[in-house]
Amino acid sequence: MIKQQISKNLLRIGWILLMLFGVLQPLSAQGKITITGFITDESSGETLIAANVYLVESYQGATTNTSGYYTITDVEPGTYTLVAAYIGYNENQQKVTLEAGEQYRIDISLQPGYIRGQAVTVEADADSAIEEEKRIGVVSVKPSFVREIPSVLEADLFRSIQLLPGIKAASDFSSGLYIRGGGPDQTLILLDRTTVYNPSHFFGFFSTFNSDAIKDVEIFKGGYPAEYGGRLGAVLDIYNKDGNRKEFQGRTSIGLLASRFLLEGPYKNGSFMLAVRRSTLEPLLAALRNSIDDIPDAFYFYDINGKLNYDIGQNDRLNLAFYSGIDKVDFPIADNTEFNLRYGNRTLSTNWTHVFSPKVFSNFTLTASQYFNEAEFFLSGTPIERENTVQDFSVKGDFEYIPNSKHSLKAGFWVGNLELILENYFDNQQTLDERVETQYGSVYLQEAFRPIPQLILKGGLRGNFIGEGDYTRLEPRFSMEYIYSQDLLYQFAYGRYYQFLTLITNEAFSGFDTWLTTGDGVAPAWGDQFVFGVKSRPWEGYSLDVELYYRSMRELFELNPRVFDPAGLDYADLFRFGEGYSYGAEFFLEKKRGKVTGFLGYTLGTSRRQFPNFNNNDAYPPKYDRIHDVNLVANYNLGRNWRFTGVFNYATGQAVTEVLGRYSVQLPTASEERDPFIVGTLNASRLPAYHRMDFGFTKNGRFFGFSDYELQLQLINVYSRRNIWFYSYDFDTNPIEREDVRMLPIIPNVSLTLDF
Amino acid sequence: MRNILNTLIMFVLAFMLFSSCEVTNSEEFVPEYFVESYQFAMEPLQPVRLSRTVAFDQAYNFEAQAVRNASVKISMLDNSGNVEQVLDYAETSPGVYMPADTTHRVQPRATYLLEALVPGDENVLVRSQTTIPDTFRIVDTNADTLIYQATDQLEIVVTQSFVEGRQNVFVFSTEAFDIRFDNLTPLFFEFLDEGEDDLEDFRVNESPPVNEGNYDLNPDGTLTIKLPWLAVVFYGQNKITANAIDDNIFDFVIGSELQVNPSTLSPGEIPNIVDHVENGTGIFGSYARITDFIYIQRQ
Repeated sequence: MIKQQISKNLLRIGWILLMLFGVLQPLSAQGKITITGFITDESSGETLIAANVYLVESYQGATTNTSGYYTITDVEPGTYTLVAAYIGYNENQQKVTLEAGEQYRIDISLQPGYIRGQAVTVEADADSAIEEEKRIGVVSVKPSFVREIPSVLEADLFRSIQLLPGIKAASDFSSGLYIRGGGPDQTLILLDRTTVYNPSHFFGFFSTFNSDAIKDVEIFKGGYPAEYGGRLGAVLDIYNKDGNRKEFQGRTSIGLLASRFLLEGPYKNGSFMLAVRRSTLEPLLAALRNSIDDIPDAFYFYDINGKLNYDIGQNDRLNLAFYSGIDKVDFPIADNTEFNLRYGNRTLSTNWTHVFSPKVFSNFTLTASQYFNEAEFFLSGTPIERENTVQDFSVKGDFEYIPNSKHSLKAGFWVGNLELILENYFDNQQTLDERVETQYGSVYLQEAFRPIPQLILKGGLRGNFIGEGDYTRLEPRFSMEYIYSQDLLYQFAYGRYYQFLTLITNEAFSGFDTWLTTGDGVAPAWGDQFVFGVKSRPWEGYSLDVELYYRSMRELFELNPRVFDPAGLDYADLFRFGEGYSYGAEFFLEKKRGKVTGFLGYTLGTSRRQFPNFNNNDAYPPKYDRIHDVNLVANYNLGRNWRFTGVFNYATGQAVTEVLGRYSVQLPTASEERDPFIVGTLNASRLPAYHRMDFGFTKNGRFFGFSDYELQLQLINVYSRRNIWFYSYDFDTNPIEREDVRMLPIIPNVSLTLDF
Repeated sequence: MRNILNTLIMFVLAFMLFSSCEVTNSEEFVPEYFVESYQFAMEPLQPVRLSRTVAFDQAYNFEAQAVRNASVKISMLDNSGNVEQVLDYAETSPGVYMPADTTHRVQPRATYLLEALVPGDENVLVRSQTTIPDTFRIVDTNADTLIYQATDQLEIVVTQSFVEGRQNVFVFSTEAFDIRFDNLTPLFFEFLDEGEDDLEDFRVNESPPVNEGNYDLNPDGTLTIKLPWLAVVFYGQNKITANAIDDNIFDFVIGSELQVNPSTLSPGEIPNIVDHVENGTGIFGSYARITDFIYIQRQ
């Protein structure tokens, strides 16, 4: 009852904020002009996120929000050159004459610089205002980047962004995101404003996001603003395509692992998009089954992304987006023994974008997200089963109010109902039945204040509530930007962050991922983040970004690895509680012009964890801690519609625990001896350094006059460096033998994509 | 431009200065005294074995590592932690120490302190203590013969044991008496290799620690324990033992399992075992146990 009341109160606060904006609107500057509008792709009508719009003569500008909408306020009457620019698009310039007292709605379409079938790249960003395109801790990733990076078997969003400074991979086999010293569960992953709980296929090898369906990705690596919350570390905000509003268009791809199909086109006053991807390993498995034992009976994944848009009017847009993805494996291990696993995600969201007035913009979203995980292990007539389900239904609203050029307000609410179910069965007897159904809510208010043109101050406050354990927490956020010159920008951000969920996972296998929440005796984890950044353009066509960060992690709660059997335990006994911290520096040098483009990223980082009864209660580095991490990505236009992409990665070897000694015990309850290790300090040693080079060649052209094609020939790990994943120890030998478990060897990859 | 570069270079240097200390691989193995002893409620005192650990790349052999001529004793403590009775041990073979008093019965719920004074320059005193789990007994069983993987499983109704501060945790063991390769149950027949695997290693098979919370608590306060078919390795006569374990056994078994089955830990992240031994390592643990016999027929 109390929880419901609090949820209602949060909703009420949201409406009060909305009404407040309505009241404030008439108070804004009188006589000044406001320009608003949507920026879209001219060929498809897709809205463009984070595009820059500015008036050349007055140096006033704005960036489009996640709906592609911009607002420029306090413009004096006169004639201006209005410029809209976006990376990969031709710049749009138009003369506009603005008269006093008028509000102008100017929707702008940008022509793509990349002409299908011809590799022509247009650099449209060079003149855009640096402060608009560079937010602290934020990286924007375009789908073309994801598709061009050489990848193991299948283009993958997560694999691509692991090349950026501050974002690391746990191994060649894991697409999990380890951002600024945090684990995968410390990153909030949103698809069309809906939380995705296990974004992986093939047990962690790939992410669930189909590169054909993605429109835009924003990564907030740290110090993120009050409009986001719920995770200690980072936010990955992914938007799928709306669909082509101008013409029907299709794309089909055939790869070694999976095939993809995309169809999009206009629909009444809007558009639709449908993207399907399915693994195509069955013929290979069938062939192998004749000659090799232990081939699964079933082993596949698929995912479907869809979106339907409808423009009710100039100021109202509706869309319905969904995602469904499943992984399934049926593996007969021996007679009378088999392993079956089925897991996946489903999301559904409805978004209403409404422009209340030129200065008040809003989004309302209903979301539904489900993650399910069903594992069955039949072992000699003894069934062992586990079911984990997460169901999350929510409603959220976000408002933007820009009264004048000095102030910009954002506010919003997010309330929902979260249900987590975890059931274990052993030998047909239920051994665990954890069911949590809780309401949660959050409200936020943030203000951007620009007292002088060179300085932007942003302050925000986010309030969170979760019913399970009755925890209410406040999160202050602050950031500032100082524009020293056209080529140099200083930034600082601070924020406090709370996390109410924890993920039980293993970096080697995400197929059993299980979410748990706060509860009695299990308080939310929290931490502070400090980020200092310098964004610069040291030379023409180059940008150099440097960010220093420090993060604390308090009251971390995660499943105690020593809990092998949860039956009969209190909820709090399932967890271990600890602390952590990370700090580092990131350097990102990008070359944007010329025949050779690309970037060099370097991260110098440290991360530590501390849990009672582990490592003598001392802090230790998690396995994914890497002190040095260098990534070089280069694109070269070879001519004749061929492009080359090369990627090189060098990183300090991962942390590993050194085994020092051994002994043997003969427990009276077993015939076989046990051979425990005596180990050194936890994760105090290092594996050999990791390095790998990948090459990719892309050819564009016409496919028998029928369609455009893109042929990709890629070579992963060109010099077949057998990087070590971990050491394995053989107990059956005396003395114990150590074996190197290695990561991927050289792997070729071929794919063909047809656009029609 | 110079300002920009200078600023950036300063950041780089300052940051590298305070964070460039890599963790190094400098730890070396130091041998430790290793003690091993298991006591059972209401049974005579059991032997104590004392040896040294070896580097992981050396072969461990108890006889070669045995610690001789140590002064070993086990003391029963009262509720205040004071010594109530001292039970001396004597070395009967290299590194193996046997109790002088063969009449003493290990008292359930009592705490015992093991002390081994190792002779030599250091005069190291290895110490560990265990609190014995309370005894329990069988009230009823549902069968003395069962068909393998039939609907009916072996059910044993037992009284509850008692351990201070937590629920009971059991380790079940199954001891077979007809050890032949063609007598293996299907799962083990599939996985074991007649030429390679020594069947004696599977004569006594143990379960991982199982919480009491897994079983039905009957209205009369007894507990009904079901034996999973997974625990049966051989057909024929089997002795089933349910062992209530103390904290030391629990921590040792869980710790050694965690070293090879890392659960949620990353591969290569290997924690040490929580061993409850001062000035050494090993295990001084205790059990309370009941046994039953069952004959398993082929399907």
